[in-house]
Amino acid sequence: MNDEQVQLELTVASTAENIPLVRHAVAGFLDGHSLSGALASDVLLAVTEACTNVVQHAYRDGEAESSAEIEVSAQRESSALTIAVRDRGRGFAPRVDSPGLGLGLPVIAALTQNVEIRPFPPSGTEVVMTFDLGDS
Amino acid sequence: MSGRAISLFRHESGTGIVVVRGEHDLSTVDELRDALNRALEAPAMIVDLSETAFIDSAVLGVLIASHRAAIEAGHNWALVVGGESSPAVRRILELTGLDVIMPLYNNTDEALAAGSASGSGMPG
Repeated sequence: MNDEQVQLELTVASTAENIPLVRHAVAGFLDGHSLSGALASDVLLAVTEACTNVVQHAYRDGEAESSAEIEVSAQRESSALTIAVRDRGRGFAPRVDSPGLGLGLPVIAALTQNVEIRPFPPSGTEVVMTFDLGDS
Repeated sequence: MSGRAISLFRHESGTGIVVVRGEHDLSTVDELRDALNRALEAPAMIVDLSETAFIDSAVLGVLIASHRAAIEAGHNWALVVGGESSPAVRRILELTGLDVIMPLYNNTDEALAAGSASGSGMPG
């Protein structure tokens, strides 16, 4: 198996009930790459936080349920794991009634080697998280 | 997701104990919030994460709100994160500094004993 070619691509409806589903799919991907322990635990927490952000923030203006989705992709390269969580919602905007504590992104930043949060055209958001695999 | 459950029972001392098993995230915070609110009716409560496999910041938000509500009500509140607790649970508590802020115990017996020793109950 060529690790550099094995990817995970997953799209699910943006619902809280699908967050554990995504986490378990990513866990299977990690297991398939023999990634476990503290690294896998950190990856699963970061992915969960990114998906929670989508559910809580991306589609808050009543988009049709069928168009409210979480897109997740994962790719392992030789020394790094990259996971992207994307939505096609309304992008980043101030929200005075935020339901969370605002801990999600700081937690992601603490868990990853690098995190990029950028627009995902036409109006969504993409969170790209990179994890250093070291000698894994 | 097998084994995912939240249960509430009352110890003979009157302390409400919420046991959280399995993985918990945004999909279960409403159920957890309900259990914690019911436990808050007791003069003291313990949240037992000994058998918790996973929590995220959404769950932490509910725990923090429960802790705050207990303090405001003058009730006692304790968190059990024992030796058998998942490293994932310990990890997020450490990352967010809640392991320092919240009253943590290794098991429910220790939490209950702390409550008895202090007379007024466990640290709020």
